[in-house]
Amino acid sequence: MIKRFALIIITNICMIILSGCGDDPASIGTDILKDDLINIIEKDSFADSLTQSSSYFKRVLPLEKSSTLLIGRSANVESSILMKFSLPMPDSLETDLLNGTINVLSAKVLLVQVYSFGDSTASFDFSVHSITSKWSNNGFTSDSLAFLNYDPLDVSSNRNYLNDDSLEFDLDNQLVLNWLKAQADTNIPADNGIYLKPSENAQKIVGFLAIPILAVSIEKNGAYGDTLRFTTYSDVSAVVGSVPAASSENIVIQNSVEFESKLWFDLSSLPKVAKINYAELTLTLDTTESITGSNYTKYIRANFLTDSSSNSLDSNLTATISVSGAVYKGEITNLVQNWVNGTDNQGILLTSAFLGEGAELLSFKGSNSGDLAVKPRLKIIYTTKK
Amino acid sequence: MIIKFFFKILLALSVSVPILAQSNSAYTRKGIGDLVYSFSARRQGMGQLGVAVPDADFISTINPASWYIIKRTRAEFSLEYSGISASANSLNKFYSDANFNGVVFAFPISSLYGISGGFGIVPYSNVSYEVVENIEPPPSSVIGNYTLNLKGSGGISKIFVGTSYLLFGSFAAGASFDYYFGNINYTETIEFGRIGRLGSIFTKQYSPKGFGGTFGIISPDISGLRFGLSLNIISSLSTDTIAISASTLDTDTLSFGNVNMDIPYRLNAGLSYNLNKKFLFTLDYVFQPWSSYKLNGLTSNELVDLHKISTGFEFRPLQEPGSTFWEQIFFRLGFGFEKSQYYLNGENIQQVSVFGGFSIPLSIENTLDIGMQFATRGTTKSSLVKEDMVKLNIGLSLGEIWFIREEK
Repeated sequence: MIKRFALIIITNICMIILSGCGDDPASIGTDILKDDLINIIEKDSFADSLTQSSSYFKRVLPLEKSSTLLIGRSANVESSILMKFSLPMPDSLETDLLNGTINVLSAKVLLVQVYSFGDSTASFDFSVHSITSKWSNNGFTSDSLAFLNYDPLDVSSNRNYLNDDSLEFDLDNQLVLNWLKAQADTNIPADNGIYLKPSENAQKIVGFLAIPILAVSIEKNGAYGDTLRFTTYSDVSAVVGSVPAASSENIVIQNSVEFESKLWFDLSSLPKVAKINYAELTLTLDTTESITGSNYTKYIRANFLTDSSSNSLDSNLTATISVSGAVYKGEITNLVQNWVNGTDNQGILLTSAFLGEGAELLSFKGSNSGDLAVKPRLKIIYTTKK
Repeated sequence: MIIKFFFKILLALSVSVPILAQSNSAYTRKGIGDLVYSFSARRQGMGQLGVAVPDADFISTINPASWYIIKRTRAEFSLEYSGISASANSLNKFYSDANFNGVVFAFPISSLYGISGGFGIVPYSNVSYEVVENIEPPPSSVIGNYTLNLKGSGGISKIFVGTSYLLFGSFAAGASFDYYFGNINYTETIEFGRIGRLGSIFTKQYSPKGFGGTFGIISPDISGLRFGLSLNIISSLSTDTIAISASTLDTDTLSFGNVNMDIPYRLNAGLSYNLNKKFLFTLDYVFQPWSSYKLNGLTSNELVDLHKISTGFEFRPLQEPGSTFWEQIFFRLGFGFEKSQYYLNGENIQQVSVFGGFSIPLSIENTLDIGMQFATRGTTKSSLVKEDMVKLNIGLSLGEIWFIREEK
């Protein structure tokens, strides 16, 4: 009996092994299944003349999260910097400050340059002013400048580049001593920091790392001397910009200022059941109107607009548009799929990749361009069932 | 004894049940796929049908009237290997799979009245295909190369419970109450060769369920000759449907609902002739009007009425004391011709089959059954597919005496 059941099991196992001895599926039978084939359709705004529109607008952004501090004047942009230093110190020093036995021998601010916008050889200078009104970098924008009060007296001197990257200037010793005393005595009104304002003859914008260093040399009536180093706890750029001198048919994106563009394609001809396999947006850069800085991110973002009147967007739906030569190109499949799925097509919001970094001005050929070949172009591949 | 009986069943099921894959034929996309006439290796060996054959040691699912002669509690199940060599457009491929074919039980209740009970689960139809095609659009196309994969799977199964009864004049009658259920899935997938192109998947699923019945009669033995008739009817099956499209970005339900699936009746008629209880000859005919098949009220112009005719022969050695192992083996042969339900591109798909098989006794009442089918179906004309098939069916037929009152 055992042998015969072993025979059954062996036979079953042989069938399992045999069942695995087959070829991979091939095209045999495709004609029989022709009703099941998937429709693959290519749509091209260039060839299919999809209706489109574009425009640009200015959005005032707080720049407190920017990694660079911009100052200067170039093209349509003017930028200034506000900073307040954090001044922690030992208790013994605070006591000496309150006793009036501390002298400030020097106060130097060190800035590390990482960026420039405009002619790098152009003149550049600025003045430094003591701020007399309270401010916070949280939410501070270019519009906030109108409410900022500062002493017109320039409290800086010896503004010099130590090398290609490092700029140093002296601050008024008495001003810094007052800051230190205010830190030691809460009865003394706290300082409001300094305002770095570009001079009238500045013809470029310079970007510094948002980690300014304040080096203060002190002494106690000849008893001891020391150099204290402080950094900021608040710093922000205030970038003011007028409308760029762009052709009327163009749309622009400019960092920090901040100009952004809206782009809309009529996709009502896409079937509701379509699966979007690929959607590619192509933008043609107008190099004659575009200005870039010493270094910048070589791509922009296409964002999903949820309301084109308030310019609000869905931050979860975004795509990267990269540059190659004078053409920006990127995949926006997820945006198009959402429109097909029924989300109202309010269009695309084109922004710089990192908001508040640099002052690049990118001018693109818009929907009103007379040359079809350079208009914004949307290519879509989608599939549906027959 | 009962425990031993179930041990045998579990032993066989433990080997068989995990294998549920199926063969590969694009024809099964039409209707509800290939029809399964008989789950068993025994019937496979002699033409699959045998409507007019009462058999004391075999459970027929085609005609429940045949159960009237069962003398032991019986259980049967089988496993089928299927190999298909498919040809089309100068291309030839071989596909193979194995498939658990069902399990049935039957037990005698009253020998005097020919009352026996039976129940089981068997497949009614199989859908199984996978076609892959690589497409190369012109280089100028932004689409790029892509691969289409069209796949179908599933089928309809039947759970039945029934009984037989010996009527006046030794006519046997039988009926089973059937419950039909299953899932049939059709999936189309597209994958692109170029980076950045997202693939998409379209899936359609049908889940029919509903009731039916099988009714049959077998005439008394007139000098070894019998005729049999059975009718299988299925109510309109309530079918849940859902169509889904998906990509890596999202999944959408395109449609869902409930529709009716109307599977036409199947009429089986046959003759059997038993000579000296050793030689059995059968001749059977099956008719099923697939032209009236409807899904959601719509007929298909790719389905026509099915006609199948088959003939079979079985040599059954008499059980005599002192017989050797080889002298106890049953042998079977069969031949079948089928004008199938498939009608594509102006061609009715026809199938010719040759059958063979044997049964090896494991012990009294227990046999290991082997059935084979060699068939050719279809044509390479009209962009169709020619299929040469081999099917190997291995089954166990187990019998035990139950419900015997012990003498005091």
